[in-house]
Amino acid sequence: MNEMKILSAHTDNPKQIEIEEYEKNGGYQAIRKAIPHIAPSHLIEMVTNSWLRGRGGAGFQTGKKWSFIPQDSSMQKYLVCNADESEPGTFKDRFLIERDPHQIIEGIILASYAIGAQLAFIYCRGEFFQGIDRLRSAVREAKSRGYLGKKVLDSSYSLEIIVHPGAGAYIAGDETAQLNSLEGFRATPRLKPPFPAIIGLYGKPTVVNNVETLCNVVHIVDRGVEWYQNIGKPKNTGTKIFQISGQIVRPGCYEFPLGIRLTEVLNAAGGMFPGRKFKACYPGGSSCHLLTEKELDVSMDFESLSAVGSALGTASIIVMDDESDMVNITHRLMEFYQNESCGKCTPCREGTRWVVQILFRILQGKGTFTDLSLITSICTSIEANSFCGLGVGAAPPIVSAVEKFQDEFLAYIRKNPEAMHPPPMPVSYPYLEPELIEIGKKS
Amino acid sequence: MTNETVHLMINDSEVEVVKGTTVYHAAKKLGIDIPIFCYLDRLPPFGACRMCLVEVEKMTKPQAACTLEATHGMVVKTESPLALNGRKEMIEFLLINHPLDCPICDRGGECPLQDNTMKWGPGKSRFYEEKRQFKKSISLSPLLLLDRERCITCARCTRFADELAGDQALTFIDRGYATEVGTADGKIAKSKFIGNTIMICPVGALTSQVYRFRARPWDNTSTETTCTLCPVGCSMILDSRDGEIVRTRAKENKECNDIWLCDKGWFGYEFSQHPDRLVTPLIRKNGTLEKSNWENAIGLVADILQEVKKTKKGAGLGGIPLTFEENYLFQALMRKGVGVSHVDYRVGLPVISSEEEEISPGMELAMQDCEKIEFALILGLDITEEFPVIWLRLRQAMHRGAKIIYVGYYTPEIAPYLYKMFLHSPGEELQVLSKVIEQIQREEGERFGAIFVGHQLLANSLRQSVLSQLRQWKKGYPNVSINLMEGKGNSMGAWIAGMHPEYEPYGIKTKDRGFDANQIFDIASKEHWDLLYVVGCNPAVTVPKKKNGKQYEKISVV
Repeated sequence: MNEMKILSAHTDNPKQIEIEEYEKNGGYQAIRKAIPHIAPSHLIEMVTNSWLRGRGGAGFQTGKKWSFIPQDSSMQKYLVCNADESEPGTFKDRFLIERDPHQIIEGIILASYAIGAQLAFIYCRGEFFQGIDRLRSAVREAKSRGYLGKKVLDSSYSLEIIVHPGAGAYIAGDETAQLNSLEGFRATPRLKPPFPAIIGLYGKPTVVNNVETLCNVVHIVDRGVEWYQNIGKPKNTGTKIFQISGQIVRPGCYEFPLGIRLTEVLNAAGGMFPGRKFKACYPGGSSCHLLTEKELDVSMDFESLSAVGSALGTASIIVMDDESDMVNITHRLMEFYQNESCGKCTPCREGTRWVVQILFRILQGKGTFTDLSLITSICTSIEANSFCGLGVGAAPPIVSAVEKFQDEFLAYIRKNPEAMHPPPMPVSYPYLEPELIEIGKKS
Repeated sequence: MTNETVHLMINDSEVEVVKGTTVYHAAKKLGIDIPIFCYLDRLPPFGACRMCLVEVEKMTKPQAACTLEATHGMVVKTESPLALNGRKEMIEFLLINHPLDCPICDRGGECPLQDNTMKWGPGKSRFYEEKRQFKKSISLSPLLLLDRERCITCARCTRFADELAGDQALTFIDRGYATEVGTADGKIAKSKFIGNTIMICPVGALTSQVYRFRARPWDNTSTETTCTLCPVGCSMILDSRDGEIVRTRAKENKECNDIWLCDKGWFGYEFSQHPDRLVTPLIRKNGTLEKSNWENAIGLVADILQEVKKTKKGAGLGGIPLTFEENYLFQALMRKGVGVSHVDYRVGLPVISSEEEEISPGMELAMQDCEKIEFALILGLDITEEFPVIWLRLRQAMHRGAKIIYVGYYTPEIAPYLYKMFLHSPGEELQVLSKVIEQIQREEGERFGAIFVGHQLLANSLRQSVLSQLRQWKKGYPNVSINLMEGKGNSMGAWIAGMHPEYEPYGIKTKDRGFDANQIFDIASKEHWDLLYVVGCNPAVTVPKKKNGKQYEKISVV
């Protein structure tokens, strides 16, 4: 199956970042169609009918999310574009931001118009230096053409966009943590309910949408709901940018309709290196269950992947071939979650570190036979009891690796002649030796 | 707030609660114990420690009872295997990086983590890795010590600093497992309420520098008392060991200080054991003070009082740091024993007849109602300095949407939380005030409000005009209360106990009116006077020099 390039239609064109080129390629036509000819409520209805689902990972229906915003027009509302892309293996937002920033701006204008927001924020990952520059110049250009600012396209609607760089925290990709961070507080998730649609940024109704979601809105408005509904599968409409990384010939972004088979995506990326065999992959970023050879034929959509116990997430496929070491991979992944945990809730803060310590011990050849059940038990507890999605996402990659590749873990453990007994507990007394301080701190 | 109620089942008993109540409070109503660490009912729900897990029917995961709103028909099981197992795991998680140094921890014996571990913990840990360790205690302020490895990052202290004290004295540094409590600028924690964070810390991470290693909780004898260091009069508990005060604690009193104290209350007790403190009576002989014993001293005082009983040239002054009972006895000694009505507690305070002002002295507003007001006007008062605990109670009102308006000479510490602030130079009080009152009347109308009048206006020649302006306002708007924030220590108690030349105990007007403090100093400086009996005050410090410059020379005995 060939790629179906809708969002990424012009991403290979280096001039696409300029407004002239974007307009020449049909840009800013969707907002001309919508403002002021389509009523906001009708726009929300269109997006709901199109069955566009959030591309940030959860797959919640975008139109439905917008419809939760109170209709009261006198109330201040905000739109936040979530561009804090930090999930391991995910790089679709960066791809869109750096290659087609105007598409995002247009999507933000449409979404803000639909929910009645007059101020929108782009919470951009701080490390996207080029992306931030391009977004800022795109906002400037759009403003000079009258697409932003007071009286958008000479209508009564006005909108400003602020590009806000984050300060480097995976947790700021969580919508409520992002709002906290945007307000200037520590990026820690907020209690839900109240949901951001009721009490969000600065206590006002707020919609937080992913970059790719907003780009889809542009094409729904431009080409019509029916056209969009016919792409992909029912309830999984539209295209998705699949990002393929890991041990594969041509890693990168590939756009396909939802519901394509996993093998087809892998083949599009050139397949495995010669002489290597597919071993496993994370189909939706690192926060989901591993898929093995048996599941290669799975359809890449939200429901089918849940049915096999995994998740579509951000559709970031991390491929591992037969030479990769699953124990090392899980240790590396858990280290990521350990360092990115915000520290608010107990299971995630303590559990991730504990698992890292155990995995490190196994890697050193000091593992014991009880370790695997212990890891599973800790991870289950993290997943069940954590405050936000970070902890919920931290457990599956580890649990599934331990379950599906138990032999590899056991091979490491068998290196330990004392594997039948609990390991000795290392104890140090930093308060007795003043120079030996802060062992627990990151070096 | 609606009075709509919902019914839910908790452990097979039905309970009816107001809509919006959390499952934790609903269970509490039934007397069911759900363990908590991060939740504190004076602060908004946070849901971080995950200790209060309960099982709710139709929900697959265990839920945090402190954040879950009770809904109609909910079926909650607080002690099902799922909930109990969840709590066991949480205790295990909390303890893996906790040093378990209870034998040398000040909190040992009264520690929620200890208690909950004994009650809900697994009893055995599966943790064999290296614990998170830090260099031992670091000093966050001259009063506060932090043992970082004991901290379970429940965020009670940081949330107290943000949400109640409003001084952001403590904050979290770093993230994840490396999260630790500290100050934002790395310097000492500046707060007037830091003692409260020690009290609400559910482990021994924050401890008092003053109390450190002085006693274990079970060594202490507790005495309930009242703090006399400011006119708020917070209820507190004195813990003493071997007859020596080792610490003070707040005592819950919803009608006064809730569960809080300010740092004066938390740490201002050391004077009682100070080596310079006078413990034996001194009697001046030939110009020098000589040590004596109580028998001689009391005998001497009794002799002089007998003398004064005949001449009637004697007066009793002071009473602010004394208790109500001591004040009563002192005035009874002077009035009934000696037969003079020259008693007054207002040494160094404005001597004003509250009857002429037609305003009741002190606060009209009950202290617990401070949390219910809808707006407050603070006039020339440094509230965090003079009446700290009232600020904590006002903060609760602010969380419910109350606006605070300030009028005064200088920017107060609470400036970031003010709805409006009017600064003016001395002399412009009346003009500014009338403008502000007009504005508030227009904006707030009949809403429930309080005016807190401070020393800038009360110790001021414009006092009468200001108060008449406020009286005028109150006539049209009865929901407004006028609170005169003056006095020191137990001055209100002294007034009620009869340490006042015009009033006998319980505010009964006396027939035999005595001299007030100013008159006593005036008269005594002009004519011979036998005795000035001073208890618990120091006129040489508190009364302006020009008033008391020479009067002691004509008094035989002070």
